[in-house]
Amino acid sequence: MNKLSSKVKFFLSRADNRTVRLLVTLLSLVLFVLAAGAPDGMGGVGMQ
Amino acid sequence: MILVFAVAIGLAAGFIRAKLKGEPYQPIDLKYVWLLLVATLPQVLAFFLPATRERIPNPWIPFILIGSQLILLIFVWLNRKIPGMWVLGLGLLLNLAVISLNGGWMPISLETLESQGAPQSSWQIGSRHGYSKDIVLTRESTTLWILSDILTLPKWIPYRVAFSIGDVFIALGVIGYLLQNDRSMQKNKFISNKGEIKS
Repeated sequence: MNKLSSKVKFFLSRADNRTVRLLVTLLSLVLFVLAAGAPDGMGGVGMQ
Repeated sequence: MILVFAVAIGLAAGFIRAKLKGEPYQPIDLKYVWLLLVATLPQVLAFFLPATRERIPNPWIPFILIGSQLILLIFVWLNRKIPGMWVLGLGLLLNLAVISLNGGWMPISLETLESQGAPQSSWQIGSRHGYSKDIVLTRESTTLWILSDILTLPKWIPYRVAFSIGDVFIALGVIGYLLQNDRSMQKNKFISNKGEIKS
């Protein structure tokens, strides 16, 4: 657990604030479109 | 999945626009992002994860779908001052309207399924189409047919999908939002504030 947390801290210290904010925004948008949109299934009609 | 392409297109367009202006790219921060997790989790379980979507009974789906989209509406309202958000909200409202008026499902017509080459054994009128958000209905029995999944991609694109006008607005809203650069907006605000102080 300690090892994992130190790895996360290491990653966050390397990735600058701007990159983290951009990733959070992109992830938020992906979640939004998945939940708000209603294209058929995972994208392919007849491919399920 | 097709709407995730809109995120990719918006990101590329935002980056190019910022690069041309010589500014670092940073989209405007969204507020209350945790609401998105609350809204999406039930849908992930009901539509996307094979292990769970097979176990969730169909009568639960309308509650999951409408409840989740109502949470998204609250999210849009709380972020309404962000450019592009009202287009996203309009798309969401259009989808929510047609879903609510058709028993909590997004209708898809037989004609659309047939035009996409869906095998007849894969659907039945009045039933859910696969594990999607869609229900197969005839055009006559669909309320607000124009807002249902009636749009398809051109034949030369080797990807079969049906989507709604609401989905188009959502895609446009995402692209519009990602085109806005927070850095450039802050710069403009700073310049206009400076002008006000001088005058």
